[in-house]
Amino acid sequence: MRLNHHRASQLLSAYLDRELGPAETAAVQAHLLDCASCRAAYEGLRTTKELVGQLPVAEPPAGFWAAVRAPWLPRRAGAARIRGVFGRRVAWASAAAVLALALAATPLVKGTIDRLHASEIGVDLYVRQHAQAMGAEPFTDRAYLGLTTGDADLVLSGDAQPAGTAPR
Amino acid sequence: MGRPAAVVSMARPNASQAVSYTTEELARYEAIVQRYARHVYNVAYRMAGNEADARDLAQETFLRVYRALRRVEPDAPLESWLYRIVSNLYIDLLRKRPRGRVESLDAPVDTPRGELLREMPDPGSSPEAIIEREQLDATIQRALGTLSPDLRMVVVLSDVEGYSYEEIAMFLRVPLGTVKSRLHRARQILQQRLGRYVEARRRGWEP
Amino acid sequence: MRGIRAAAALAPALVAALVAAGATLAAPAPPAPPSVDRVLQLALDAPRVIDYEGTKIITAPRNGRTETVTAAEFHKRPNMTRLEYLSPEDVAGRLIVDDGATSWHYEPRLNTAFEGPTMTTGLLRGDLSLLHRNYRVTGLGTEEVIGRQAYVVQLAPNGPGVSRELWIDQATGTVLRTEERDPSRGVVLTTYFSRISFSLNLPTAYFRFRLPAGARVLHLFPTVDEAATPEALGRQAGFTVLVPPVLPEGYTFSGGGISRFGSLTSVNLQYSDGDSLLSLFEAPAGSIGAPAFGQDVRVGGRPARLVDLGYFRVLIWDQRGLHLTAVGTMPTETLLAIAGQLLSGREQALAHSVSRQVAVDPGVVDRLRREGLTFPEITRAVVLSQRLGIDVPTAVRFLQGRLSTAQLAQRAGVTPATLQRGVREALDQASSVGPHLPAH
Repeated sequence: MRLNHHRASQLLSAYLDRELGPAETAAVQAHLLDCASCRAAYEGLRTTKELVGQLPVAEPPAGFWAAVRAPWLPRRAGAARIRGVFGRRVAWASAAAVLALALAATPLVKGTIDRLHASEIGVDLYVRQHAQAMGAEPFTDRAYLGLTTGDADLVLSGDAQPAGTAPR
Repeated sequence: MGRPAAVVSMARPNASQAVSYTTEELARYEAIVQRYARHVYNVAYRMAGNEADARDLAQETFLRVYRALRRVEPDAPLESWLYRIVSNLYIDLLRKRPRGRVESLDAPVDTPRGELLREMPDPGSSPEAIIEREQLDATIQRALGTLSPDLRMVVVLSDVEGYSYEEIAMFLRVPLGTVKSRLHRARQILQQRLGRYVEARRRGWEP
Repeated sequence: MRGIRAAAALAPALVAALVAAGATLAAPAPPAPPSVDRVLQLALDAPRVIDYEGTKIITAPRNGRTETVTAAEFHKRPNMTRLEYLSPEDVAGRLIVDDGATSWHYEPRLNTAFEGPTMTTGLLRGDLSLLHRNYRVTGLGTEEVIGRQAYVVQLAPNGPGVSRELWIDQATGTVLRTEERDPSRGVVLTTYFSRISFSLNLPTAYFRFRLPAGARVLHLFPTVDEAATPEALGRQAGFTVLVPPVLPEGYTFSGGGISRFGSLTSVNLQYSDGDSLLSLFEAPAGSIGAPAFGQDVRVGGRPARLVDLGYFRVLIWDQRGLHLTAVGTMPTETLLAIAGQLLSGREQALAHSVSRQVAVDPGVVDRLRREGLTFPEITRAVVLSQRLGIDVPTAVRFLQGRLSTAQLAQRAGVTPATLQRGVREALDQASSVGPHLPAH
């Protein structure tokens, strides 16, 4: 099987992806040995595929996991980003869901996301830890501590608003 | 102490129909989320090019899965269905959005200076390297954005998510030859837009 | 009513004794109420000896207003807790199970369980010395709570701060009711049992968490690498940490750890005054910003952010490359004072100044600060030791009441009368040094 230049150049991408049959593969290989411009084009396609292929897996933003996992829940009213594209409000919960999940599995979260949202959930994270530590004081009420840490858990999982943002 | 109930009520305020799923069904939904959500988001992000739209697309996709949960066969592969939803939702979104937002095909793609590229050793080794890496990613994403949605979807499924031509053809319900030609065309456009990067990499400036 | 209780604090023992002596016969005399210390000890020991199950009503600030929350509370000795929240609606169904090692919080609405460290470590602690140093503990007599006789004990801080009253069940030592009072805003937290039943053995199964089918689990163990000393914390943090040995108003370092949450690493320092806790969190300045909510305040002339959650107060500021967050229940002024002192490095300045004024090695001042003594206490101890020719630790023991005048007189080799005169002179002299230092 022999290929003319035009036909061969059209098959370079599929050759690169190993999506050609044995005969076509051999024919493209043979043409590449002969044709400098196809070799250059092939190199260009290969490099382009590599560049696109090395894009990192996009990290879902704040509240994504909580929203996807519990689609039946109403979204945080004050935090809605847009209303319209799909005719409903879309959540803008805190990034903490991502953080919490990162703890649950492996630390997948990129530092940039943490930095952006640590300030939003930092107060709840720290109040939670403080309440946990208060358990070491002999006369604190554990039912109240449980309430406080439980509320903070919800913020950290992306399901509730940060503590300081509640309506007064 | 009889909690939790075997059946959780799923009353959705302001929703016309309230759905009740058993805990088994909810566990199945959770398993679907576990398995596919990251990929769906990734594809949505590479299609839309921004976090907000990607989130909307992915969340809406899973809302549809959730509503159709009873009709989803356990353990059936769902890629095909999910990517078709994402693709259709994205095209809907473009249709509803004012024209001005869509990038021109001729928009130049900025490339950083060559010497920056030479200084890009192991990504992750230094803050500078990370910033450069992020700049490159943004440039590639912008180049993707210049493709038509049809071409973009094929590149994303092939080069980002790594599916075979056959799978892509099945997902998008197009002939195999169409996948092949779209991908080739898409890569040619991308190569042109990313010219300087492609050239730099070919010369071995970057590992 | 408060006045009657206060007046009754000490008198009944005497009255009871007189009545018993004067009575010719008949009814056995009511037993004399135990000392306040004995009552507190009873309360401290109670969780280790009895199980109970009851309904608890909590009234506290929540979501920006005062809310009343109802929970079923179960306790199994020595340190297992189960809490089932019943109302209001947004917490109904919440379950917390703490087996003394791990605490599980389950939220049925999300079918999600949060696993974290136990909240019950305080149940096994028995030391009240720090509490006695920083609080006036007063018996306010007895009252009836849900048909049970209870001792009423008040813990009032020596400095400004939150005071607490405890209603301690006479029969079991269980705290039936608590009230926390903030000087600036009145009662901030009330908790009480509306019903309680005691048992010797609640089933262990109540205190084991069983993960419901399909539940998602989030592990929230933010604190790792528990480090015992401030120095060790500094080494483990990987960034320069500011670790004051003591804070104003008697807060003493009580523990800490490195906390990692996502990629946010912070050092967590805890300071206790015996009843109330202050947490200080330090993270590299770039790793976290100030929250978008709260109010702008100034600390030492520099901007800071105060988030007042009604019960908890959170103060956030940046200092020398560190992002600091202080969390506590003390008044805002106390929090601001602590931050101001940290910011100005006033601790070092004061320590230096005291050591110079009373002519003692700075190391001695530093050591006593780490033991939790205030600057006036240190001054008094040092001056006393110099005047009487005794060592500093002995002077400290005497000032803390752990050594009687007679014992001290014997050690110093003088008569108690001479000693008392010497002590008064020493204390007068010390008061002219005290905390009123030229650092202002």
